[in-house]
Amino acid sequence: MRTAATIRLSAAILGTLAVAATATMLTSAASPKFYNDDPIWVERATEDASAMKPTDLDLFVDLGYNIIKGTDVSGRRRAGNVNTIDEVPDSSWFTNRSGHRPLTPEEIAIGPNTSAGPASGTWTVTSSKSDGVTPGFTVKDANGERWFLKFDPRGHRAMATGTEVTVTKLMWALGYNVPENHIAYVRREQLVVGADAKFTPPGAKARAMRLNDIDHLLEAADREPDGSYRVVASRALPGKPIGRVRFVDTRPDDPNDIVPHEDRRELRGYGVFAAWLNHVDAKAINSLDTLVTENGRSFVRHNLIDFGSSLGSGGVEPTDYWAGDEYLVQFRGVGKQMLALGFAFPKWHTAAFYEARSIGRLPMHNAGFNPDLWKPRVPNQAFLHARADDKFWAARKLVALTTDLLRAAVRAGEFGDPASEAFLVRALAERRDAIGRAYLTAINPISDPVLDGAGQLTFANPAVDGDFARAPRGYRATWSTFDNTTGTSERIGETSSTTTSLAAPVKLPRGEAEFIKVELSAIGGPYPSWATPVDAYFQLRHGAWRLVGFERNEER
Amino acid sequence: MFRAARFSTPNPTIPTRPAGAFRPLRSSAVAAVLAAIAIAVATPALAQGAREDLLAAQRAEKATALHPYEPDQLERGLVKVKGALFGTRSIYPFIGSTFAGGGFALGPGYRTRYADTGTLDAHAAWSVKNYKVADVALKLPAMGNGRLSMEMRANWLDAPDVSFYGTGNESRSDDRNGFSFGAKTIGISAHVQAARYFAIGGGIDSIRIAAGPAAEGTSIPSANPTYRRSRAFAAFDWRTSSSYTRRGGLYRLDWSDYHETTAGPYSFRRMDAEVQQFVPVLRENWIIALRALASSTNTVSGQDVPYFLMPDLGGSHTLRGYPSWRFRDRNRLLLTGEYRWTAGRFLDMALFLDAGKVGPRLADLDLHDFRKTYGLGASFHTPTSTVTRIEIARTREGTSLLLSFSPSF
Repeated sequence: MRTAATIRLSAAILGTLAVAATATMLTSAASPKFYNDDPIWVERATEDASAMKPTDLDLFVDLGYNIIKGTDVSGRRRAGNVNTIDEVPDSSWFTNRSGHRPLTPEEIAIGPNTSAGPASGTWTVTSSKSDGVTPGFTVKDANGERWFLKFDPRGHRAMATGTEVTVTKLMWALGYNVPENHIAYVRREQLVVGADAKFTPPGAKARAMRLNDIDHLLEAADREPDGSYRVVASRALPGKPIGRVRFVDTRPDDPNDIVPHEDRRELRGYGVFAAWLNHVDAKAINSLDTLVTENGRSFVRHNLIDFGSSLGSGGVEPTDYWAGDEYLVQFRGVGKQMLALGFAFPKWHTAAFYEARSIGRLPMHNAGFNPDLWKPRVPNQAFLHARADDKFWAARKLVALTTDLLRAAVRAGEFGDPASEAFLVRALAERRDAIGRAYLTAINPISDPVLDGAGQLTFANPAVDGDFARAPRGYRATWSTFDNTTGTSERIGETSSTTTSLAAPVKLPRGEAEFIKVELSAIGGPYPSWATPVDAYFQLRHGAWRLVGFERNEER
Repeated sequence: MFRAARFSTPNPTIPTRPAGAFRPLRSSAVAAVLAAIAIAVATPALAQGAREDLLAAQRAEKATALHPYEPDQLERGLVKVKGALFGTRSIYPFIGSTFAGGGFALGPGYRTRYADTGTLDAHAAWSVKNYKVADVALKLPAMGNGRLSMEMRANWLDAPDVSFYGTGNESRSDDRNGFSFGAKTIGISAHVQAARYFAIGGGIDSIRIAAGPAAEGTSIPSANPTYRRSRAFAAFDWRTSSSYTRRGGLYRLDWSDYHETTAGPYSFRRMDAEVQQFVPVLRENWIIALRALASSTNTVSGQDVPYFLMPDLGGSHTLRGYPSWRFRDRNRLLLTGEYRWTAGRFLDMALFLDAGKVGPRLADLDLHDFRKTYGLGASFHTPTSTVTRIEIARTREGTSLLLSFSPSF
């Protein structure tokens, strides 16, 4: 026993020393700014996470925690999971799609789907969701595949189900892991109660489910003229559910989770997309971590789920008029409204709304949408930590979704109401453009620099390209050598142009593996922030300049 | 730029390591970590190596210190709050009222559920004015597809000093006397939800009352009637919730027959009619809340309505600002208007005006000589229930501060 204990102690000490030594060697004196494999485009889990245990998060605690945490955020740091060219690599959180490669309407229509939906025939109910007005079931279809069924509230055919499918397609296009959601129809006689199915009446203890429990739950669901029920069938995510995505800190039992969630750019950017989609219910409960095993290694895949409270849908009724305008609990304005006898009311009380049973309720006019004023129901720490560069990143992903792609996503919702579908497409396009106008212009928008062998530097200006701002009078580039080991630079020269193509100075280094730094800014731009340079770093590899670094600076 | 170098790319040479914190280290681990040291020391050139190696090292470092998720202080506190508010524990603290005018009361409660919708709820409470109550209610599981519910209730009350100012609209506050009021009630009631908004029901109770002067030297008579009370009601209720609503209405008729089983002189019948209307304006920024309540009693020849069961005005729900039981008589009329406005998601404000009168005859309930109160209130609420209501009310007898845990109406 004593020997074993000694070995364990020794191992612990040596292990700590080893890790410390390795980390020191990797990051100390010789620590370069760029490594040979920069920029990386895949962030893969390298540690096995099979020992993780499920945890759960209560809705009351989730809401209460975020409400109490409040909205005060100080010292926003640069996103912690961007690669050296300011992009988010593919990972168990995110896959680059929109803005990274061309998408087609057909791809959007398919989205994450890998099947045609639940197999017809008998569906065996294995559990139910009795809370809330709209019921939900977990069923096994005729092939034994597990699905979660959710219904539309009475009188609102397609509102919750169509919205869920449409938003799922869009979130998939934007790069997130989402479940496979299908519009399906089920008849009461298709449903049978499983042998071990449990039912929990409100406020009571779980018991064996009975057939009339299904009937009782279906009373709140909307019914088709032929007697069937329209559902959104959500395929069980692969892997073992082990908890929710909290929007702060890292998960202490996940060895691969090393960036605080509030610093993950895709979670910060999720706030921009939530604003676009009016996804006011973007909280931890509406996410799911699953433990999946691939090639013998277990890791956590982070999924976003439950988009039923998005766009004009509030899930069980049209979304509240105030949704997106106010937090559920906010003290700002309360005193004023108290003293003003109710005459200091927010603008949503008088704003025009488009209202339809099929899609719910959305502001009628979205061209003037201000994403900075949009709020989820409760504060989300990741959203609050977003900086201008995070929002710029998200806006670029968003404006890459053409109106044709939006139309494909709306069509997938099968709302059955052409006028409302047309409105929804228009609203999404207007809100997208409003976000582009707000976030692509708020920071120097120079992007995607390319330096060719002849010394010609070209780049893009998404704010101008998207017609969100007028072109600046010109562009300026300050060229420097760059020492990758010390981080020092030495000025070579400066060039300028009236277009997005600039000539490099003649004295550019020509040695293999040498680095240069180019500071790019706009001259006479429509926004003062455009004068703050972005920094591009190139390395000469095999005779060609390769972009290895790109930094969008908020301020200097 | 990587702030803390957080990534790794696919690298088949990086060994998969188990989540170390959950497994005991073995002697073989010693060799592994020695090898790691050797690699670290022998490869300074890694500094020019791969980002993925750096990130893998960071993950490996975290893998040595894994631990299960531990809620922080705030989260632990919220779990406790939730348990207290919505917990399934059968024992609970009763906070509320024993009887009108008794003031704030506290006591132990017990509740449990059975057969999906059946409940048993029992509580005892003691108020700041020494009023005591014990109450048991057994609600049977809903029948008829949830449309029929039945409840059996037993209640014991001891109120040693209930206010009595005399009868009539002209009673004076200086004439206050107190009487003791004790009641033992046992009964059963039924509620039939005949349609979505329309309900009818009724019940029968046995009530034994003991009333008499609270102190010697007052002219309040003693009475100890035992009643068989029959009750029937019909209500059309399209409010969103009975405890908090911003729209809809309630139209209610309630009839009761108090039949004295000991052939005493206090048998009577009572009818209550009430209309409540809530008119939302500008997407519920403003609510116009209106209420009219009329109560009337009648007797056969030789019978009378005992003073302790007369319709009354005063307290936190009728003619606010006047104390509970301020006005009593065989008939009453109350009109209330409130201008409510939304100050926050869970806070409403209200300006209110109450006007009421009592009289010995139904014909006395005309629109003259109302007793009036007006005031300002704040109401904290959830989407479906009123949590706390604080009001300041002004009457010709003075200004009062009111605290209640239910809506004014």
